[in-house]
Amino acid sequence: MLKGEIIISGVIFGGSLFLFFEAKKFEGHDVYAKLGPAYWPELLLICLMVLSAWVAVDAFRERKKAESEKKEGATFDRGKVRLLTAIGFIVLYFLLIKMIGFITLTPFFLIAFMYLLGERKKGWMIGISFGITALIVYVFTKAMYVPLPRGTGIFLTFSQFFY
Amino acid sequence: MLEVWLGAIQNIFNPFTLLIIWGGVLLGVTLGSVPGLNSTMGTALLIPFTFAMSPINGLALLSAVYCGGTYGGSISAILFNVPGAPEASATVFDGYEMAKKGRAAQALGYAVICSCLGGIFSVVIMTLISPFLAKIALTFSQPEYFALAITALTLIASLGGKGLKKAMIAGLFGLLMATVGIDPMTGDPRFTFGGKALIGGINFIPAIIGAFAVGEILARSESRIEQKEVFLSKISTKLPKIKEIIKMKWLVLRSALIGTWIGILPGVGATTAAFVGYAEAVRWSKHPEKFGTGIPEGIAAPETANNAATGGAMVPLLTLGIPGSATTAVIIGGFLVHGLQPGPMLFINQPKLMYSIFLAMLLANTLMLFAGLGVAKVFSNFRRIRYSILGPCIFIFAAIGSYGIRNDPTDLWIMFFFGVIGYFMKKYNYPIAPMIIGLVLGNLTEISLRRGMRMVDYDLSAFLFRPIAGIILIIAVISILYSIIRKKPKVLEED
Repeated sequence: MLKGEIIISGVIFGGSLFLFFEAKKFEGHDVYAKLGPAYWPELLLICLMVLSAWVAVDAFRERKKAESEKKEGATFDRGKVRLLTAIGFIVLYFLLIKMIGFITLTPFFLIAFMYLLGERKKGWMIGISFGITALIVYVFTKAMYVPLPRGTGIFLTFSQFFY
Repeated sequence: MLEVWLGAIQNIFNPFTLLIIWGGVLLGVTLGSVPGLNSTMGTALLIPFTFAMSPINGLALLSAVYCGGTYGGSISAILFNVPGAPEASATVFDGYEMAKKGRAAQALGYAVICSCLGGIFSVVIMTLISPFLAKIALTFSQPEYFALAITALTLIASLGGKGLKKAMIAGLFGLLMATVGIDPMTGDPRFTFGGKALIGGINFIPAIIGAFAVGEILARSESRIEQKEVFLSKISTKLPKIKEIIKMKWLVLRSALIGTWIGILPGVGATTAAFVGYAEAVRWSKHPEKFGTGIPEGIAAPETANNAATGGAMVPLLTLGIPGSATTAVIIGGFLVHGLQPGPMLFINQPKLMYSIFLAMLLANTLMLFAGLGVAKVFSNFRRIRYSILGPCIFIFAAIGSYGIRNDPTDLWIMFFFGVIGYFMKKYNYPIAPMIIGLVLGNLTEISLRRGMRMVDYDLSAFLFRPIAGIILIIAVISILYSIIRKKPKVLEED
């Protein structure tokens, strides 16, 4: 955990430094006032860098004290795979939804996600996935008039049966 | 004034709005009672749904969820020693002890009745002082708004628990995210990296939904912690007798006053209110040694105070446009989706809407009594729903809710980005609420600082010499110092 703390602090510091140089590009636009568009973000980023360095130093000190925590992580391997798979599912869902459409893609996404989270009762998985999809389609398209993605080609034709 | 009240009554007392308030209270109590789900997440998920409603119905729903959620946390605190929401942390001390003695029904009864009383008291206070405060707020200029925003940001310090530095990092990150997009003063694009997607800035509703809901789902998918199957038989709520409540009248009144006052202060919220209410009850009691052993006073004090804080926290939101708690920060989104900017001008332009919100909260706190009786009964069944089923369903509602606000796929990616950020924040104990507060207040803080500085010829010390801004800034400093030096109870530190 402490190693992770140091890495996270490093990421915050590095990201802040990168954005600080990005904010430098806004300087010189202070036409209307002394405090231009770069002033506030630069101030925030300096504070972020100082605080993240402080957290990293604290974590580093604690890490030296707590050598016994070395074994951590080994038991989390399966969890990490599951987490990365969940992230992969979400990214894939967002990438495909425009092409395949909400009504076709969502039940399969839900079933896959439920399976990933450990659900094994097929009846529940299928019933709830299709039920929730139908409910959302009804509520959003009929009651709230939100145009859900319909997909393209054959998927568009299929979606048009419903909304 | 009578006309405004009659308009508000007309707005609220129609079957559909009443149904919405009732549904909101039920949902809030249910969400509050399940650890891991809370009223903040509930209101965040519901904002997109309110888009299709009238502003009155939408805001009534969010307010009802807020009130119900604050009480709901006490159910699992009493029954399982696990507060459903941080606000119920102090209820654990005597609530669970009472349940262990076989008096769970009575404990639930005290919790629900005192929550109602606290909530109603605070709404009455809110109704009385909000219009007055709004009138004062109309005289505010940029330095005063900057001072107010800074005071509201001190909430970050109190939300930090034991990790103040991390809370500050989270708050600064939220403030930074609010700078993305076109600079409102010069028109320069900031952190858009040459693309068009971020030109309009970060829509904070998908960000809130992502950080609270998606972050939780990702964290649970990694740990895959299954809820313990809890066998509960015949859970019911037994309301205390009127004379038992009258016996505690001073305790309830004191806790309600404490809760309302703490709720109004932007730096502290319902959790602190509950602990202060509890601590004061111990201090004023003739038998302080009995607290923690399972006595009704130990439930009445924190439950009255935390629900009183809900009405209190709405005061700065409605009168100044500044959130008094994490949930009220989310409720700002409910105003924004209807094109409303909470603040003093709403009292002039939309007085019926404001009084309708007062009335809706009053009703929500009253209906909570019935919701409390009902939810405890079905609670055991609800807890049996596995997260492997619930998690993906919440995700789909979160995704479609984020997408539905502007029908813009960018919002899905914003939600996802904040979901991943929320996951890491959870994992490494960075509190999420400060980030949301920062995101909500970012624009106001920056603009009021830059404009205010121009007004006073770039002399920041001039802010201190303006009477109202100076006083508010001093309150902010005291609030931060109080957060740093106060000794927090262990349970609060773990939030």
